[in-house]
Amino acid sequence: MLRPLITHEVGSLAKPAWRVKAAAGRPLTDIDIDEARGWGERLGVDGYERLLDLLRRSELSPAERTEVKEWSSRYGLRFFESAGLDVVYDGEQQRSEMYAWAIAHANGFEFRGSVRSFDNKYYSKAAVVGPVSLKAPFHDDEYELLRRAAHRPVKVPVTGPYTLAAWSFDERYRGRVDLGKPLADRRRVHRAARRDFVLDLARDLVRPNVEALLGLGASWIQIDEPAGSTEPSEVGLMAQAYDACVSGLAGTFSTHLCFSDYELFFPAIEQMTGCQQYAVGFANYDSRDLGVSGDARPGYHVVRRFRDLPGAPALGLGVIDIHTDFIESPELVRDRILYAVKVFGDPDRIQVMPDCGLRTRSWSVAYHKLRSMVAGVSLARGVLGL
Amino acid sequence: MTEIGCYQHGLYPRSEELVTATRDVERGRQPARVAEAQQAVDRAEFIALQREAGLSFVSSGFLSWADVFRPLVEACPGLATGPLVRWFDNNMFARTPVVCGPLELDRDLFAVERTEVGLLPGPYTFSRMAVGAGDREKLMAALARDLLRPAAEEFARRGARLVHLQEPWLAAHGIDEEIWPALASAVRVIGDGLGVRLVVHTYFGDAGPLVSWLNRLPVDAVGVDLTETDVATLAGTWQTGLLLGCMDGRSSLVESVDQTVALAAKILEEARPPLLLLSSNCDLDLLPRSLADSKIRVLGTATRQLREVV
Repeated sequence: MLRPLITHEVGSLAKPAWRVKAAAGRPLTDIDIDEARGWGERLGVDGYERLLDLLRRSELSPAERTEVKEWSSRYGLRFFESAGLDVVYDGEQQRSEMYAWAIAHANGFEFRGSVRSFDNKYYSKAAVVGPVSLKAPFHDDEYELLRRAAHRPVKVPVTGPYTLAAWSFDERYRGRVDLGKPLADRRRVHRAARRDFVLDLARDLVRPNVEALLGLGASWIQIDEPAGSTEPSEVGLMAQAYDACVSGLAGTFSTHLCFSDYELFFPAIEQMTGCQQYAVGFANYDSRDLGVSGDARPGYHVVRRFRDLPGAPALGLGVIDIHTDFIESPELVRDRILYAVKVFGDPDRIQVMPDCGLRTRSWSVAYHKLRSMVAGVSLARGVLGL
Repeated sequence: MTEIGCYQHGLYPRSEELVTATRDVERGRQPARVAEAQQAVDRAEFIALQREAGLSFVSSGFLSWADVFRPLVEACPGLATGPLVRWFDNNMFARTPVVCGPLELDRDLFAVERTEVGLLPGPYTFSRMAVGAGDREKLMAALARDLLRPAAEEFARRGARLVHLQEPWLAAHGIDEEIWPALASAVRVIGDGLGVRLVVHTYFGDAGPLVSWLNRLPVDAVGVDLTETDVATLAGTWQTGLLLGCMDGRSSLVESVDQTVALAAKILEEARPPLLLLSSNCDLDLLPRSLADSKIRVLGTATRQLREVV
């Protein structure tokens, strides 16, 4: 899979104000248009003048709004390519959000309202109320667009079944609970309901969507499970659902895990035989000091557990904290990589990425972080003689 | 004779309008006053809802708080915000408090709004979640003495009639038996002579194995999470009051009044606590606002009917 220490993004990127406003039919300001011009020039987006022409119009037709979203995808693609990443996507510019987009294209759900995720960040949470199925493949159009536009290989992020279940209310599988019943009985019902819900999502929603992408020529699909360790006793279910999504299919399949106590994933993820790469966020837990010793890299001690997984999968090493505007220096990125390579003893199994999607950062901050990440990889390659 | 009441503890969800306004302010689309104005509207509506529902103590909802630690971290120069960590087994994250200096509450910075229900993290949970803490039992004592007690006093000074200590770590992750006396001592430091009621509430886990110790805590009531606790384990003689976390903050299904009354009546008969309070099992900000509002109405109605039944 490409060369050692390849770099890639993980998922989301903030949506530019011009994209948000145009899609919502709200008026744009000169600042919005200048932003589109500035990034178009900086990233070398071919034909971006057409976007500026669209943005200057007082009103956009539905087809023109769709065209603006497509421009947003081209900008996202060039953003990552220009930053120097080896494998790219569009920062999920076509999608409302990783959960809501999938649920909006599924049968069996109703949205209930906004719920806090952290700080002032909220997401729209749905309840499963009926049989789960796929309305229609929901990444095909974006993939077709990006496949044609990309100058580098692409990796398609797909929200995983366990995360979709964990982020939903359950009004169907478990139903109303009588708190007067013995706890052991209630827990047994809960476990069975959860298992049915997650595996239905894997078989009837995520897998057909993955199959559709493979049919269009997608070669690397990342099944995101940021909620994977929400209930530690269910990590085995998450692993089982992952394999239900990809078993028997031809392609490169990876997963993304973040903001968890990663020890909780072991040994359950040893069952995930269909997973060729684990993209995991570590920088959020690490020191900003330089150094490649264990003391200098407290956020990375757990990488040894990924080293020992059966089948020797690659590790996508999160080296950029996506929750702060702090720009990691190339030297700090280098040291995080060198520590992981030292633990693994094999740079071919280490790939480099931000901890998670960068959508909570401005484009300017995200770009600086990614450029620094790429520079850090160059430094690490130099040290390792690659 | 058992005194029966109800109240809503914890962080209350923001309305869709406030979520949008806050997002717009953060992204520079609106001035800060837009979110502040909407927050005042949300707070007024929540207070009106509680009064209409007949809740015994009225909470402000703590709508500006990002998590239960943040106001204390921001009011204590010896604390800093650390990395995001999962809030127990939920799709919600809190920023770890990092101990980086002396623990001391700057009372001017701890600018909590007027509320009849004060809210603080319990000393045990706080000491377990904190980073850079060293000896956690010493930290628990220091937190109680230097941070939580002054904060509880601030709530009392601003009109609180009850202070609610959230202790999810107890039921979710357990506690070694030898630590209980230190926890009881820390709770005593917070509550002694405070002049308002004190409740310690544990949730996100089975409180059954903890009952004998909870029952001896020097508080007015201890809270349990009935979605995770066997009702049978609550039977016996309670020296302290009991808070029943019976509105499920993690379920979108709104509880039935009849079932809630029947459940509470059964526990009342079997436990005979001096004080019985009905509430939610955890903060309701794990729900959208409209569903939380429905649960508040059930809470009030169920409590009223329970009083009539017994």
